[in-house]
Amino acid sequence: MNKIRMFRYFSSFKAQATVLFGLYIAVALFILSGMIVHLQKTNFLIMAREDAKQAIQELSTTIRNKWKPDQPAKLNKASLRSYSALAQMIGHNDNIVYAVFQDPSGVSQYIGKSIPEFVWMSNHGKLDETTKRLLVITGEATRSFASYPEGRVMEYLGAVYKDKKLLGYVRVGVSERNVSASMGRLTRDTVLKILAVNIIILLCLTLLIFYATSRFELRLKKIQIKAHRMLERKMPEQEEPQNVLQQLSFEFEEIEHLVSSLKNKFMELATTISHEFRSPMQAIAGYVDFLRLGGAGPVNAEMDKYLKIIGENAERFQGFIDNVMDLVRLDGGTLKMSLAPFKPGEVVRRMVELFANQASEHGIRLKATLPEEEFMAYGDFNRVYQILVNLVSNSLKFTPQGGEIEVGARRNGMAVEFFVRDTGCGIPAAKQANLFTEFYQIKESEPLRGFKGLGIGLALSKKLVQAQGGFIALSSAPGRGTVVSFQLPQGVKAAEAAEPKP
Amino acid sequence: MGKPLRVLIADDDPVVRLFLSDVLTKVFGFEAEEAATVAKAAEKTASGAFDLVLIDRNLADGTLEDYCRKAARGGCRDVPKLVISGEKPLNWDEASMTGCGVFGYLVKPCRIDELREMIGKKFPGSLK
Repeated sequence: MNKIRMFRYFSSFKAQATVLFGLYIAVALFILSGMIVHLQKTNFLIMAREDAKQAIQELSTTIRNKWKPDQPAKLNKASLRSYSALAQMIGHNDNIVYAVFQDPSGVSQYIGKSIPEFVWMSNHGKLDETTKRLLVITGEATRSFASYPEGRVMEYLGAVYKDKKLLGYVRVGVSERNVSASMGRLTRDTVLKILAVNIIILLCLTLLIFYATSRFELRLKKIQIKAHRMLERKMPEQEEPQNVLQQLSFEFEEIEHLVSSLKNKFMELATTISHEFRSPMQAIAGYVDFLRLGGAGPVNAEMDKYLKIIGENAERFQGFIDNVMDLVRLDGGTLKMSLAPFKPGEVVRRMVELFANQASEHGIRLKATLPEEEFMAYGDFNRVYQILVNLVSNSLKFTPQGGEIEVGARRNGMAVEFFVRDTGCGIPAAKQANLFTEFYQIKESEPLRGFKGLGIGLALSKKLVQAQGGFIALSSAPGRGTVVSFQLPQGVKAAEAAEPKP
Repeated sequence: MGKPLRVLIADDDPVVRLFLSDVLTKVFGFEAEEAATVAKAAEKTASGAFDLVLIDRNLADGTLEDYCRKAARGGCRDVPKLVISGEKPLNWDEASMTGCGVFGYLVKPCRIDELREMIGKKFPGSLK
């Protein structure tokens, strides 16, 4: 039972993270320790080599000093042996297994230590020509050979000269086994120390990691709770520890689906509403027209007035639905522009025609500014028309009697610019920043006539302009009126390109 | 002024049928008949002589295209048709629709003025 619990525990994020990091650290420490031990070993070998070289130097000096020309093949053993410091050094140095002086003819004498059997058993007693040549040229050489029971032996050689005459060779043998043995003695302590330090470091770091990942896991659990809230269900009580990272990734997949399905539902809802409203709107707007045209008999002025109000509100409602549908479709990417060359002057003219009556009713001068020479622009005619309708409607709401509204189009380099300028009450600079945001309305502003609207017009206009690759701008000052202009870049160029060449 | 126009209204929405019928008869002074399905509409145009058909794009038992096919088989391809429907779709095949006799498209909800203009252009002198 306990074993299963433990196993399940290890599926939790913090347990896995800790074990993983723990392993990394353990491996790192192991490698580090190995490197330290290896360095120590190299150190020992270097020390042994230094010892041997020193021995050779001192022996060479002694031999040179004690050399008697009349005894070329013999050293004064007694005098050598009595050179106590040297003998002591050789005798007490465990690493040095033998020290030999060999004259050029091959006769050898030991110095301070008995010659191990193996040196003569194998051919190592004689020096080969290569080694001799090396000694002559460089004054020193090394050889190595394996043997039992001494293991690997490293022999350091030196040539002894006096007055340019070769007296002989000094050979000092260093046993690696002895080096290892001495090293072993020293290293064992060091290794134990290293091991102890490693374990302490490992334990401390592991605890630290465990603590850190526990904290991290808590944060993740908080995110998990939020995710569950988004999915509108409660966090299930957990019997055993789970891997929170894994769970989170599942939960986020579910959230992704939820968002996607919400978007679809929203689009569907908007489309259904727009579709369902056509029939009742037809009846309302249609029968208002019908009655006003006398379809059910004569209508007096008062009745006509009220019918007119019903009709206008029906239009307003329909306009709102159309705008919202446009916005929804623009956001959803399903609204397509139908781009083609068109005459900007034509749009302006139709705009002025459309609003002529309304403007004169309210004593406002409506002016059209056509380009000096007709040119072709490139964009969506209907959408440009829609945008201008919105802008002029806005101007009509805020321009007082006696004022002026100017609608125009002009060439601006390779772009076509449309603008609506009014002499209305203007917009203070502080309120201008958010004008093109959906549903934004300046609270203090009250239209002079007409209805306030829902703050969609400018937002939609901006999106429509951008969908044609253009940009829209507004400049206004209180008491000085407003100019809203939008440009369709490359409008003129594209139109010229689209036209078939004569 | 000649004989009043004989118009067929094809729409599955009773509100729309009632309204269009009222407008055509009481405002324009035409004669109007109604059909709620493609089948009924095709039957009527086949048997009666209609000067104009006002039709929606989707009826309960079929689409505008279905009606056009049926009407063509019945030899009524040339009867002028005015579509009164939801927004014109982007894949509206102008050419083939014109081939079926469709001469205009009005978006619901349509105003009486729009109707008057469309019919007036196609049948000059027919409106009071």
